[in-house]
Amino acid sequence: MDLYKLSVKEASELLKKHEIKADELLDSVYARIEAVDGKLGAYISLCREKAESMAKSAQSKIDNGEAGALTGIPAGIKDNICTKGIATTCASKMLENFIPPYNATVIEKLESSGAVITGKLNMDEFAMGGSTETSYFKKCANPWDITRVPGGSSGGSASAVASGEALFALGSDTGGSIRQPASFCGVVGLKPTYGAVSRFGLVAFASSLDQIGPITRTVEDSAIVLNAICGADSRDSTCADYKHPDYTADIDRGVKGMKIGIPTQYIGDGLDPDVKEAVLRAAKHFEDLGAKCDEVSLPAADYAVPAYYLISSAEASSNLARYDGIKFGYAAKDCKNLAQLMDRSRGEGFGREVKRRIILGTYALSAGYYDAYYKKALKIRRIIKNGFDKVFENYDLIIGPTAPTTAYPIGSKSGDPIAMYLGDIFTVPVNIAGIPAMSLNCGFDKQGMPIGLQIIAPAFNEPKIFRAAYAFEKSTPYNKFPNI
Amino acid sequence: MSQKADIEYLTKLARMELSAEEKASLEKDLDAIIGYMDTLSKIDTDEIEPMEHVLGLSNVMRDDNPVPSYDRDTLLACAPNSEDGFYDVPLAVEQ
Repeated sequence: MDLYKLSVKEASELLKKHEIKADELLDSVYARIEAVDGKLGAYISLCREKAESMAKSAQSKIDNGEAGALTGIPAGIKDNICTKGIATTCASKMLENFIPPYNATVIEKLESSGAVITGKLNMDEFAMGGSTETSYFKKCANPWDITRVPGGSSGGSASAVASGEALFALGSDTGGSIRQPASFCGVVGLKPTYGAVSRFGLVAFASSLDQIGPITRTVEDSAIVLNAICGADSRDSTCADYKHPDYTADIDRGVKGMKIGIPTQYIGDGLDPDVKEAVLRAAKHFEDLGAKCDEVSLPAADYAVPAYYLISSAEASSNLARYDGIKFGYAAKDCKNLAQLMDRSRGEGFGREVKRRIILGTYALSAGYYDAYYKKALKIRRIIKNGFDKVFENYDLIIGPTAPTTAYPIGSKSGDPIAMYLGDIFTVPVNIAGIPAMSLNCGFDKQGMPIGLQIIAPAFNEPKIFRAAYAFEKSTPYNKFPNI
Repeated sequence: MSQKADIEYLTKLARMELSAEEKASLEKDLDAIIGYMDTLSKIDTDEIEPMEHVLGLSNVMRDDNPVPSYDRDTLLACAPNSEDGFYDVPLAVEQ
């Protein structure tokens, strides 16, 4: 049996029944990494020694009958989530040598639930990008076709989970960075409600939009991981004091009687015909399962991308001001004064896309442009949020494509920032409105590349997403393992 | 509302030293991106209040309970340059 192919749920059951051991499972995952990561480039670093000791303590928990849902489960972590004593690079030269002195809250939670951290996963530099091509260290490939991108920015997380290099992974999603790579790699990616998961220890990109979430191979695994990482945190004042339910509890209740909206703006021009067909087929499938699907309207959908890039770049320009070459991170050599140390460290330490966003954000916040750009974008943000609220007065869920296309060839879009930004058209409105959404596979295009279906719910309505996604997954043949 | 971005001024505000080539290429990108952002001017937002944050939070307060902090050596170990228990930086004030 290839243990690395197991879902979290299956592996956990086998561990608890003593049919497999935590170290066997871990060995299987590392053997898989050795076999395929040369082609995929999903990991930036591995922490095998620490993982082996974590697997050992997980095994004693299991032997003592104290195992939880994640005890002994190998997990990869996006490299912008701080791990104590393990380099956290954000795929940037700026943080190449940064070893955090503390764990992110989600890492503390995973560790206390017994998960075994395998290593740190590749990403777009500082999570800015949609293809993992802006990583300072290396390109990352899609396990369904290694000449194509895995999506981004959590491309390493999606590529690793799809190919069996981890049983699950954590990613972060500021404008689609969990859902779009999940879509490109045919796995399940969840961006939880803003405030459902603590951001303490997540390297900040755009604080009003960032959220950590799971990338898994099944819908149920997604609920299991969300159970482990959600909850209030005194170290993140934006983390909601909310009594989270057990997200696995009602997962099999089905969609009978649910009302699902499909925004006209999400199935219009510019959508790849194979993607459109798969999404409409999914809507039909939900009707067959007993839901009612209607076309609905989300006004200002066309304005979401420019509004998102203004807000996120403005916040990034402020958040990334902390990289000054003094307290941590890259420092330029032989500077004659303090100002030069800052100017040169930032000029040499950041890559092209990060510089582009910092400059755009600086422009949007600068005197004379603030009202026309930043403030305008904040007004569009309210229009977009109101648009979702209005639809959710009458509908339980919204469905649509996760991305306008499937995974494209490496290098084909990297020279054109606007084309790259437009790939986020269906994902950014969700972050702007702070609501939860999942991407799961709903078919394959003519080249055999996975197509993501996005399921969107009102704030803190993740259980509805899980119910619909689980019903869809269980009654369709699209949850597959790539041949790599 | 579009106006050519002054790349020299912006790199100063952002405190980033860029090469002449980088500036030229960034200026070109920025003109295209800002041109695209100008589509926002087509939408009437006169009656709309800006929304900074979905949660509408302001000044979240908590009890001021002292907790152990990181020790000096741990934090200085993250610094690219330190000396005698301090951050080491080049000249800060010109003489």
